[in-house]
Amino acid sequence: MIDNFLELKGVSKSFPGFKLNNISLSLPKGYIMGLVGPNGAGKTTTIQLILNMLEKDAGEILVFGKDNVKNENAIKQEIGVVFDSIFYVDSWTVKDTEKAVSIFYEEWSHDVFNEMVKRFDLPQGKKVGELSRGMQMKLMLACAFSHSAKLLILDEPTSGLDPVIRDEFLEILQEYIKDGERSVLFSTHITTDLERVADYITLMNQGEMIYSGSMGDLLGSYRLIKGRARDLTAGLEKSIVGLRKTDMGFEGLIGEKEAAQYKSCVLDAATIDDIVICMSKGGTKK
Amino acid sequence: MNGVMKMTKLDFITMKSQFWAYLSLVAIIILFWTMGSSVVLLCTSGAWFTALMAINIFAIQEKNGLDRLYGSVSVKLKEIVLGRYVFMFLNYLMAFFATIILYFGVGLFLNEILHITDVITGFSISFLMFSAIIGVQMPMFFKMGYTKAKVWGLVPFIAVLALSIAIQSFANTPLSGVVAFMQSHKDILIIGGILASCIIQFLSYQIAVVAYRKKKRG
Amino acid sequence: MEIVISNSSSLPIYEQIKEQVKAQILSGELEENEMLPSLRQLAKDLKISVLTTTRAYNELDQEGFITSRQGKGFFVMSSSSNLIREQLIKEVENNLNNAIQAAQRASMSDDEIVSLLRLLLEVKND
Repeated sequence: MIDNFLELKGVSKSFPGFKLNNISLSLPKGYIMGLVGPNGAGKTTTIQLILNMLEKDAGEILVFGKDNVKNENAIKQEIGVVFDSIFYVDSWTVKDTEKAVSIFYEEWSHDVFNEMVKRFDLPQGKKVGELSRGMQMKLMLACAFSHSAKLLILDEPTSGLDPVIRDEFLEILQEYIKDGERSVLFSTHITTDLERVADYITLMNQGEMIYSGSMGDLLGSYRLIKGRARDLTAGLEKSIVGLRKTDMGFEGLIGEKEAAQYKSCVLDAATIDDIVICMSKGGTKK
Repeated sequence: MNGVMKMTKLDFITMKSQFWAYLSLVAIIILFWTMGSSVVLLCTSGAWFTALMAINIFAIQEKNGLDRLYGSVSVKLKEIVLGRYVFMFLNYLMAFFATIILYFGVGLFLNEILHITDVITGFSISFLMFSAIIGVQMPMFFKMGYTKAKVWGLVPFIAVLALSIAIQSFANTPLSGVVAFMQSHKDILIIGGILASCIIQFLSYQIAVVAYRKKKRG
Repeated sequence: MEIVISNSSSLPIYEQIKEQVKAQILSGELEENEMLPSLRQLAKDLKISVLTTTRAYNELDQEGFITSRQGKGFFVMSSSSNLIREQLIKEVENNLNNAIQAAQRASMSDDEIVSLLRLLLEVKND
């Protein structure tokens, strides 16, 4: 019996000039899902729909198995949110922030918050607006952790942060899911952060969902194929997604099964970036 | 505490940095009082300045992207909007009480005759004016955010100011009949004023909810 | 148990884990009935996903090298070292068969094949 903490079924939302089309994904309890795609892919819109900050046109969103609109308040008690920029008042201190945010949570733990503040080394005297971007992100995390949130929703939390903080951040996330009772949805365009640590991945581009499932399955389904011009047969060319031809030869994405026939070419493991780039070049062939 | 009260409390914490603005508001009221203004004028100018200052919360909301904070906590959209209306009303009440404490406090000290009716009239007229101003502004600010609505937001302020000056200068025209009628039937004026304020606020709230729902809040 | 993952290896990470666990069972570093680190602890220590460690452990379980005890975790099977040795010997057999076929294509006689094997073993043992 799989407990899905987050489920989207056929979710759509139209704007003038952009359409989020038929997005479906499932995130089980105890795992990390990456939401990946270039800017404008619809990642933030998807998160806003989950949080009911936008009304969906079609589809179903279930959080902890419950409808996200009908049970909005109950659900939000157990969700922690971090955005790419701070959403607290810049003149607040750390203490003011706790005062403000704790108003909304029945299970706020002052002790946990203090522990987080100490652990993240957040300066108590400074105002939120004076904190570095990394500190601001940690403050949002500290608040997210202080009310027993079971689901963390992070919208580009590490964009603009240096590798040291990003690494620290991943460790914090892995610590968070360690008991198997909590999940993380992590939207980013920094794919290297996700590649090793995320269990599941949803790939989006231009409002469409290209893939949603386990990271292992995605990376195992494709290879990056490279070869000389003479190796590019008509049959091979049809199988390649996002073909790139140069004077030196060609390269592109090919399915794992088809790749077996072309041992004379170089077959590398495909990274998420390779897959995203090739697919956005060559359409969403699977 | 229900959602509305939680939002109002949050609004007050949000305005923490505006503490000095609140103090200068008190100073302005004192200034008007020293100029020998009537209670009614004290109340209405206090309310006018309060509306001017309290509406800044929308600026803070926009600057810090607080819509995302509101969207991630357990409050419904209607509670967010209503909480803001309650916040504005409490601001008005604070100014009003500051005014009458000043009026009664100093008045008793100087052994002046205090007219309760004037105070109640002052409440009614100033609350009506306050409701008219923010009643027009709030839906605009909820829909467009502070920066875009700022200019339009000035319109009710100026309109009300112009209207009050106009009313005063109409003392010697046919309209003076109306003014005289109102002055002699103060109770109708008082009840009518409060009723009108409630209706304006209620309608404004309904429009604001629809407006905020349509806004992209991320 | 100590595992080191290489990012540049052509082997997927779960395969690397499997290999190293088997090697450690064979060398005795991992003793029979010893408990392995939990799925999530391993994932955290190696900075990889939980599904990856799950796959590695599940496959090792299916292949009979480790076993999962309800509520407790994964343990090294008492017969694992034998099992692994058997697997490796099978691999040697396959490789030797391939070598014999290649030798026959080169028209080598049985004696030539055995001498070559002895020579290589001497070189290896120096």
